[in-house]
Amino acid sequence: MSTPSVSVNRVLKLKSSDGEIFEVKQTVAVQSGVLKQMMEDGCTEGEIPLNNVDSPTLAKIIEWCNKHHDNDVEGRVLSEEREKEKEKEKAADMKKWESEFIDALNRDEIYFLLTGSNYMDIKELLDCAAQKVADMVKGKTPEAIREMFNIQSDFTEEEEEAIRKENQWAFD
Amino acid sequence: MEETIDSMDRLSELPPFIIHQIMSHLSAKEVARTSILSKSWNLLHSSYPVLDFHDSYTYFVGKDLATKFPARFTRDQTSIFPQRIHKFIEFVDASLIRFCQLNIAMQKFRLLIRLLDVEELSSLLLDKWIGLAIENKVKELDFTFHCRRVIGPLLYTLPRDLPCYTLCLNQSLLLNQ
Repeated sequence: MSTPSVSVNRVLKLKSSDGEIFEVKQTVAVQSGVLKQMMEDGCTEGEIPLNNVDSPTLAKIIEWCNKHHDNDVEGRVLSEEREKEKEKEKAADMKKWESEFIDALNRDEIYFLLTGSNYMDIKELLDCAAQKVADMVKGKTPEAIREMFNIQSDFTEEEEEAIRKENQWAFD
Repeated sequence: MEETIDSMDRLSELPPFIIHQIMSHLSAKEVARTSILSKSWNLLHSSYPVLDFHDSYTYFVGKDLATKFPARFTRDQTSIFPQRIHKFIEFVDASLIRFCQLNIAMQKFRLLIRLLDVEELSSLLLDKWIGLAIENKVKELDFTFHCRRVIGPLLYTLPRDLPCYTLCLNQSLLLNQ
């Protein structure tokens, strides 16, 4: 069995559901809970099939992980105070990058990013995509939300009225 | 934003865990409003394991101020706070009962109220809510009961059979065990 340690130079070969191969550094791939587990178990030889993630989504996921990895390993030779300042700056830059990244996606892409990041167990990305959908829902009437996401109501008028009544506080 | 190729309702097809992740970024009110989107959303809303009721605290503050400084408020304003509080209490009660019927573990129960309303809320109701949360194996209980000192100390006594939780107490709580 190979050693379970993560090596800087080694790459993993990820195969998307539509058969495309992506090479990712191990040090980047650890952000995925699933890949991290596989590395620890020493079973990352050859191509790793990701049957629930298509190539455009996997490309996005890898872009996210690369960006977050770069952010982690930049120089660490500054004074403590300067270091803190730098950390703050970096956090703000990252927030900006994240919102630009997610805002550039259409609804379908966000949907696949949600399922893909959930499947690969990348919590930060899942949370970022979930936040985006929540922002789209916020402040909208139920009718507007239905229209936006093509949700068909299967309630009768009476049923809908009953639920409104039960949650009246929320509809005032 | 670019439109979707087809008009599928993809959002509703997401696993409940992901929908609940989305709900974690919404207020209790916004989460409750999703219940009338469709039957599947009603279930997703009922099964959301985070019961967080902190966003109606302004009604409690409003009622408190209206009691202390009646001249500053119109009659309409004075009557609206107790109405809202009443609806809020009904909402918390119904939400807890509905969740508990599903028999799934509760992740969090959070409540932010003012103790002046203990008369209105009644300790029995608070006991019942805490009891329901514990019965459903709640992982995190978060209560903030603010207390008004003008009319003497108002105290709420936590139920005696509370299992082992880490408690962070302020002066308006009395631990009786």
